[in-house]
Amino acid sequence: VSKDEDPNLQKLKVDLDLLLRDAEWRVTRQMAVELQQIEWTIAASCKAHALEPRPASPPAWAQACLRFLAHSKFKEGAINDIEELFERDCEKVGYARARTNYVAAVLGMLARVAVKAVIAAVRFVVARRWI
Amino acid sequence: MTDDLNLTPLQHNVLSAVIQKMPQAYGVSIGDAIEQGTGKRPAIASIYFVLEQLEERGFVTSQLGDPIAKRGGRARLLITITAKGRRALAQSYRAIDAMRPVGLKGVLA
Repeated sequence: VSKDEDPNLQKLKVDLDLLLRDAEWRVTRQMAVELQQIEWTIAASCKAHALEPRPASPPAWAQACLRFLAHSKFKEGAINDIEELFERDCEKVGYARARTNYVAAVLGMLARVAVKAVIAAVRFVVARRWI
Repeated sequence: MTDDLNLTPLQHNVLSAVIQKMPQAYGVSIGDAIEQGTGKRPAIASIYFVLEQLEERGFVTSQLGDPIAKRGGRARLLITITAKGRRALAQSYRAIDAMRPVGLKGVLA
């Protein structure tokens, strides 16, 4: 009987093959389970992050407009007060209404600054004509 | 009555609120006082523009206070009324009183 045809050897080969397949399956399965667990952890973490309450902030463009105006102590005081009112409104009437009030206050400031600038320009032109 | 001390209704209200809220008179507290008194809150921009006018006329003085942690480190612009402002307000009250219809004095008092 040649080495290749030895039934004991053949049986051993088959057993070894089965063992290897089983080991491979177990490792693959274990890896799959671990991957699934990692995936669940990431998903849970993302969900928690999404549901996490974030500090309410006014619209960025309106804030930028306000900062643009801040060059005198009156405007600085007004800006601080508008932001204090925003925080108070968030607690009292909710974020959406607070945002609306904030934007209205910013537009009010801008309108008054624009009117003042126009009046100053007209005064300047009139004064130059008198000279 | 001198024209120099004349006040518009909003200037009158703001000066009254400043006296009421001193020494912690600033934009928000002035708005609160006016809302409490008249039932209507003026825009914060209106309050500050009136305060600017009043300071130009020497009726109030203002200075930035210390940053307050409760306000996120933001400072308040504290307003103080001057003697001239007090005179203007007193005159404004006298004018309102003088203009009140005689027959309604008891009713409106």
